[in-house]
Order: sequence, then structure tokens, then C-alpha cells
Amino acid sequence: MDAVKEALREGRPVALFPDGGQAVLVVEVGRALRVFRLGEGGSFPSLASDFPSLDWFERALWERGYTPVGHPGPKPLRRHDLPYAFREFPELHEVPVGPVHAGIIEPGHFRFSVLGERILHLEIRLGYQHRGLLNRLLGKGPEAALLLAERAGSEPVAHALAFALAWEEALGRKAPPRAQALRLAALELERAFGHLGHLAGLFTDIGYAYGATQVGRVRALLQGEVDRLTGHRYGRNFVRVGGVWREGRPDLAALAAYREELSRLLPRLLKHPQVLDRMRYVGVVRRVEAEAYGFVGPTARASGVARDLRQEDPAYPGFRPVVRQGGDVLSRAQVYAEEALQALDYALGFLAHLPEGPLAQDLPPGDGEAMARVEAGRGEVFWFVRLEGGKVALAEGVDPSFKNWRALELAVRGEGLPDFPLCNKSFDLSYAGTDL
Amino acid sequence: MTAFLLLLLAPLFGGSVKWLKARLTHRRGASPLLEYRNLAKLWGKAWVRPTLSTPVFLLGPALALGGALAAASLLPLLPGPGFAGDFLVALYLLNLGRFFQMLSALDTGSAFGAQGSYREGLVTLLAEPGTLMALGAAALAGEGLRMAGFPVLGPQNALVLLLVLASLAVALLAEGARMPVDDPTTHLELTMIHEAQLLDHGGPLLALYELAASVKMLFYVGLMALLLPGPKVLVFLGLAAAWVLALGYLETFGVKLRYLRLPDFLSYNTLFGVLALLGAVWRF
Repeated sequence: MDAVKEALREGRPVALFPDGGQAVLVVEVGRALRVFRLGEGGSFPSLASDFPSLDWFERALWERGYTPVGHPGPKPLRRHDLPYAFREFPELHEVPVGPVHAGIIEPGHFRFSVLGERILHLEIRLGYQHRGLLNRLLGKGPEAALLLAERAGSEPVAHALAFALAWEEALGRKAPPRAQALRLAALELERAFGHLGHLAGLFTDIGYAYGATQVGRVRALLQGEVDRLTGHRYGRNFVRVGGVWREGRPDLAALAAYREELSRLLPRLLKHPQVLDRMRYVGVVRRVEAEAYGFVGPTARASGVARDLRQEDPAYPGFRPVVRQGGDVLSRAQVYAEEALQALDYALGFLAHLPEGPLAQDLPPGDGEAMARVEAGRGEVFWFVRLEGGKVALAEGVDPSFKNWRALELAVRGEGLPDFPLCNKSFDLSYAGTDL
Repeated sequence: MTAFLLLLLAPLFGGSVKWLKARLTHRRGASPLLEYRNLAKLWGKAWVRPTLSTPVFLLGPALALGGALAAASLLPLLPGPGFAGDFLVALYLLNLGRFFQMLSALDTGSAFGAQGSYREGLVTLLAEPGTLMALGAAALAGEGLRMAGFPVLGPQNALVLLLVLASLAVALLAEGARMPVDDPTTHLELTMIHEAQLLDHGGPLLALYELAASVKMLFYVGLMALLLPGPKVLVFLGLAAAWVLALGYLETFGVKLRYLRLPDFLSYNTLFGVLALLGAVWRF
């Protein structure tokens, strides 16, 4: 137990999933993963009071029938048939928002406790998009399983890639070099247009129509290039277990031109004095909070945590993560802007130097288990698979959004209620990925 | 007479702003005349009333437009009734509409209706004194305390009237719920001011509210037109076109203010009003 606590103090939890009555805890310490098996017979000791980063993980396990012994008060995350008690403050006004919203966005329920216009507490309740995806994966072969895993979150390429990598590693195989480069190019393009989407959303939310349409236009053009490369504007059905399904020809000159245009446009938009007034010092997540809650991706990097899975990836030699110290909406916007440019550079690099060779190799059915992580636009995507005879015997996926929702609860404390949508958009988390 | 003119032009005004914004963001944009068809479409729809609400719910849209039109009928762009202090009556007819609009939103019992109401209440509270003082200054500088007797801009009263015009411009943005005070296009309930009050109104009720919003803005444009030299109706039309341009640019290249910064912005309205009044009294 002490070893577990020691690891959690130094690192952060990556995943917690049930396996035959035990809870398997995956912790990142430094850049390495350590795996602990906790408890037995369906109950395991809870560490959530000491490590708030484990709270949602333990609650997710609790509603799957496991017992976190000593958890301060488990509430369901995804199941709406179980009772749920919101924290109540009799002296404050409660503003319930959602799960049905005025705009076309994913469903989520937000319970604000406000004093006048000031938010003192926010509790987020999700689970409206729970599809039972992890159970659905059981018994599936590589093609059907990948189809499901790809649709887990809002970033299909990253999810498909992490799932395929785990599958390949479980069988001790690797995709051919050309497929590897193509996968990473698609991943970087997904990151670039995803980040531009966050930025366009931020500009829309503050009513900056010019900024939103300009960024939105380049984003749509970039998606056209994703379509040329992968055959789908969001990059679906491109990555397969063992390689990629197809190889398209994106227009490299056009990609370079979009990068050029963005490198002039984005800094100009983010220096607009009124934009600065809306974004600076708003929605601050401090570095200690980011570390204690184990936030990942741009959320963590905008709060000064210099961690990006691409740091140890040999395909990215000399990778330097984009880091900002402010932790506010502006810092996150700056990280998105800079990472979008960086992602386009890498995508261009991968596409310009594609190794020769086949696009995929067929993997024989086999047994084994492995886990894989991929740095998606929103942060770390985790997949674990156990194979028996080429079929899924156990699978677990963790979307980066699952680890980051708490950041929104912290960021809006003390802010005005009208600034909530802006804070929310600055994280732009996936509801479906959290609900699985 | 003036009320009919404003009612007729109101959809064109709103539609033109939308069209210009589309053009400025490199989109083709729907015809400015689409707004007429949109209102006709809304008018033809069925309407529903929340089960827990009372008939006050219906008074909101009716009086919002009714108040705006009654105020507009006092505007002496075209021949119409006029009397001493008519500008006060007109201003409070607008506020009567707003009062019932707020009641109507509260009547639904939804959190957003209440939120929109208290925010709009605050905006009105901040914008009203400045507007009142500015109009008072115009009346004092003219002959008789009536809108028909407002002076026109000239070398002798340029300072006072420019201050009055500036105050009215800020008031138009606040009362019309336009940027940078409020974003009329947002779908984010929590940032809404004016729109949050309309969330439960649909069909003909929404059509009334949309018409009322444009008529109110045109009323302020009309007030400004009174202070400019030239044939009143032509000046009014020209000024309305200028406001379409101004709003289009403001809402494309500007950013909505933080809600907590609104008092800063609206204090200019009060400042201009106070200065105009001092100017009118001491005749500088």
C-alpha cells in the first residue's frame, strides 16, 4: 500500500479498471508506467481522500459493482438509475443548467451554487451518453472492436491508434513503418483541426465573429486535407489493427500555405485588446491543482506542467512541449494556437518523408494483453486490451476528458456566471468520451 | 404615423445588420428582406404557454411591442401628437414594456428567465439616468419641453448636442441589447441578458419580441435624427443606414464585454448625460 501511495505522490493515475475481482491501478511515475493490483473479491482500499485524482476512477468502479472501502461518499458517474445527491448550500442560490442546452452541444448537467453572479461551487454530472461501450467490446474481433473503440471519444484517430497499438503489442507485432508515419500524420492533422475548433469556439463565445469565421475557415480547409488523406473528414475508418486501411494524397503545398496563414492570423487574433480583456486572468487552474488532480494535455500544459507523451516517442526527436504558466483561458488559447502550428509542422514532416513499404500486415489471432497511450489533442488516450484467440476478453479505455472535467469545476470558482461558457470552451472536453 | 414607419422598417433594419455581418465575415448572407418572411413564419406558428405560468406571460410580448409603438407614435418625425414632457412619456412607455417583459420572464419560473430579468434590470438601471438627463438637456436647449421643439445641431449648441448624441448612442446599444453590451446571436444561456428572457416564448410571441427589439432601436435612431439638421424623415433613414453599418462592424470586429464590466461602459452614458445637462443649464 505504501508503494502505491508513494507512486501516486510522485506521479498521477492513468487508469483504474476491474479485472476478476481486483482493481488494476496504472500510475505514471516519471515517464514510466507502474501497475498495481489492489484488493480482492470485488473490494479494494480507497485512496480518493488522499488523492483526489482517483475520485472519479473509484466512483466509476463503484457503480460497476466494486466497493472502494473507505471512499468518503461514492456517487454514480454514468448510471442514472442510482440515487445522486448534489452537495447543497442552503445559503446560496442554485442554478441548474442542462442536460438539455439551448445550443447543439453534448448533454451534461451543471449545478452552480452562486452568490449573486459569483460562482462559489460547481458540480458536474455527466453520463447521459453512456453507451456501455466497454462491455460491447467483449468478444469482438479486431475490425469490429476497432470500429467501436474509434467512436469512444471525440478524437477518432487518437482512440483508434491507441487501441490498435495495444492490440498489436499484445500480439508482439508492429505496424509497417509507412503505416506508422501515416498514422502519426493523421493524428497530428486531427490535433491541428481540433485545436482550431477550440479556438473558433472561444472566439464565438466572446462574440468575436471575425476571429471565429477566420479560424473556422482554415479549420474546414484542413478537414478537407484530412479527408484527402484518410477518406473521412474526421479521420474515421483509417487506422486498422496492423496498419492503415488506405493512403490518400493530401495537398502538401496547401497544408504549408494553411500553416503560413495561421502563423500570421492566430497571434494577431490573440493580441486583440478586447480578446485579452475577456481571456486573461479568467478561469485559472493553478499548477498545484493540475498536479494534484492529475490533469493531462493542454489543460495541464497551460498550467505549467511540461508533460506530453510525445516527449519519449522516438518518432518525435527533440520534441519540446508547448507550456504556459498562467493557467487561465488565455494560456490555454495560446497553447492551442502554438500546438496547432507545431502539429502541422510534424504532419508535413511525416508526409514528406514517408518510408516505403506496405500499408498493413494481417495479424494472426493470438493471446496476450497490453496497454498503450497516445497524446491526443485533449491529452492522454489510454487503451488496455486482453486478447484470447484473437477476440477481446477484457478492454478498458480512458479518454483524456475523463481526467480533466474536474479542472472546469476548479477554474470557475470565484468567476462570474456569464464567464462559465468561456471557461468551459477553453477546456472543450468530450462528454461522450467521459461517458463511454 | 411615425409608429407605422418604424414598424415597417424594423425587420429591414434587423435583417440588414445580419446581412452585413455575413458579408463582413466572407459569407454570402441571407437577403435583408428575409426577416419579413421570418416574422410571417413565426406569426403563423402555434404558441404554447408554460403550464405553471399566468396570463402575465402573454402581456410581456404584447406590451413590449405596444409600448415601443406607443413611444414611437410620439416621435415627431412625421406629424403626430406632441405635448410638453412627451419625451419623458415616450421613455417610460418603453420602460413599461420592459417591465412587463421582465415579469413575463419571471412568470415562467425558469432559472434563465429570472437571470435575464435581473441582468436586464441592471442594464436599464444603469442606462436610464444618463438617457433621461441627455434628453432633458436637449429639451432645455430647445423651445418648450417637447420632442418637436428639440434644437438641431448648429455651431451654438454643438457641444451639448454632441454629448446628447453620444449618450443616446450608448443607450441604443444597451436598450437594443447589442454588442458590446449583449450578444444577440449567442446560444449560451448563461451569458445571455436580453435573450434569456425570451427562451420560453415561441411563435407569434417571439415575433412580437423580435419586432419590439428592432422598433426600440429605431426609436433611439429617431431621437438622434431629431437633433440633426435636414428633412426629418430623410435624416432618419440616413442615420438608420449608418447604424446598420456601425452595428455590423461592431458585432464583427468587436468583442462582447465581460458582464461585470458593463457598469464601466454604461457609466459613459451617465457621464455624457450629466455633462450635457450642465452644458444646457450654463449655456456653454
